[in-house]
Amino acid sequence: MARMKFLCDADRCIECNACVTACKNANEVPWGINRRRVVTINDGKPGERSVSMACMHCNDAPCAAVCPVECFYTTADHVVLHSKDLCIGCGYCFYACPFGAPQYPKTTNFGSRGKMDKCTYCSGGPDGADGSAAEFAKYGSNRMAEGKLPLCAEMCSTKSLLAGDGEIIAQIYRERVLKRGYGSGSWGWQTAYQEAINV
Amino acid sequence: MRMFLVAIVVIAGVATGASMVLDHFQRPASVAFATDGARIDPPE
Amino acid sequence: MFKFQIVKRLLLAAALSFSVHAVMAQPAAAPASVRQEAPVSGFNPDAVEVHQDDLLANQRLITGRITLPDTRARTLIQPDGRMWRDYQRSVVPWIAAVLVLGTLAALALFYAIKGRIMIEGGRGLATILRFSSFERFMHWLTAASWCVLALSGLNMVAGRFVLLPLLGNDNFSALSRLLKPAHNFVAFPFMLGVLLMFLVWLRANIPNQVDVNWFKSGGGFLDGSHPPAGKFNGGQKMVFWVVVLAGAAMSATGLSLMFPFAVTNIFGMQIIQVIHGGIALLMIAMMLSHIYIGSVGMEGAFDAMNSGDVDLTWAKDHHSLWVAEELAKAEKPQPSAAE
Repeated sequence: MARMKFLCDADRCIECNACVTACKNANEVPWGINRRRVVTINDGKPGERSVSMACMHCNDAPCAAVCPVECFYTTADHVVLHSKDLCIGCGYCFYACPFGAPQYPKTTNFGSRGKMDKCTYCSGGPDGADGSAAEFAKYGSNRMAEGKLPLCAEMCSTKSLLAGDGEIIAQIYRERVLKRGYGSGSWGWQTAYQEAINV
Repeated sequence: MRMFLVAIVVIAGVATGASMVLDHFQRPASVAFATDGARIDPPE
Repeated sequence: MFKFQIVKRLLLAAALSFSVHAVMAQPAAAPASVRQEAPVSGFNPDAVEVHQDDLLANQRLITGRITLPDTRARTLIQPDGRMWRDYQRSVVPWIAAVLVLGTLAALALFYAIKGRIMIEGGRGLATILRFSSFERFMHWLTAASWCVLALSGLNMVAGRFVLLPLLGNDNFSALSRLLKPAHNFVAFPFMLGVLLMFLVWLRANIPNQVDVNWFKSGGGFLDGSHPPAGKFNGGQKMVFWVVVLAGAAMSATGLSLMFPFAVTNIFGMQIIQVIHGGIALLMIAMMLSHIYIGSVGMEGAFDAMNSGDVDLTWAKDHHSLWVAEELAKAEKPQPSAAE
């Protein structure tokens, strides 16, 4: 069974934010919620790298571990999803997530922060049939059910953001680094999957 | 006993009052992160 | 010819992987973001590399620049989240079990051995006013709020272990969705109650030598004696100060949690949450004992907060100095209007 992961090749990312735009468009993400974002390290200095970051769908996801109402679950492709019906908006998952993936409709935390929203690997959610309007309204697109990969990686202008089975994208990245002779590494992989791609 | 019941009523009152006052400070993300160049119209 | 090309490529790959490995294995003492790597193959546009391990060796999180209006999102990776997660999942449930269940067990044991502490000679007819209406009101304001806060707070920590299996996901979530706002909003009457108690009862709770002696004789719990005490004995003064100080700490941390990132960053928020939870559990342990002695543990104690009038014999036994003061006040001539 495929184990889905994201890999952002920071040496190719040109900070065009096409991934962000694609995600926002495909999932009708409301303003203020940032499922995917591009962060630039060392901006303007030698060694400037940009990394596109969203939920990494970690092994042993910390968000799932700390949720007081256990609203998270992992699909067969190892995509980490959650139920917005069960979510109480407490904000714990944000404290635990190393990548800042959980997003909330409210900036303050009295009562609730609203239903948490995050990258779903374009896999929709638990409510409604795959690809239904009900599922789309709550969780966004379900491309995986149609056999497609997340739109962010598909729309990446330089093919720096890779999505797919972990083995396959690791191999692609390895071959790239070998061929061109440089690579700043698989950002976030050690934290998310407890492995780094050694070339 | 009576003071206990009075206290319960006051708790309910203060808590409700607090929620109403705090709602005034509540900012949805769509408003909090709007800028001059990028914003959405207020929801109907 | 073909074999030679394979060997050449293998050598190149080996050399490259060695150099990449060597570069990645360099100690963090080197400047984190600027490193030279000898280009091995043809075109290397960036002679400078940056690796997440180096960045994390020097700082707690990796941040950069972001074009989103929410500048908090410029944090790329914060590995501290894992530490916080480990603490929440592995440590906190044990602390909660020991402090909450352990205290309950200790109290049950104490009751089983000692039984209810009865009024010596039984209840008499004479009573004395111990707490005024306002004192009782502010106590219940604080106590009832605290009970809601403690239970809703425990639900966040332990609810998934205790209630979730009983209620199922949907019902437990529905309950938690009510308890969390309750926790946030009932905090305000609690803060008001603590403030009132602090203002009204501060003077009577200043520690003195009488309390030292009271503690020395174990409060009379173990030997059955009745060491002298004022309006509040040593144990009660301890409860007062715990409530005021822990209450203040809970209020400060709680307010910060309600306005996330208003005063601090992600690491600060994690610390604040740990403090808030830790003090909560200690406070629960103390309050369970307080509730025990004020209800089941001692005959005559609950009257103080229920009606305000306590049995005179009970008062003379447990708060002898206070009774003497009150009786002296009652016998003094009333001050005239001219004074």
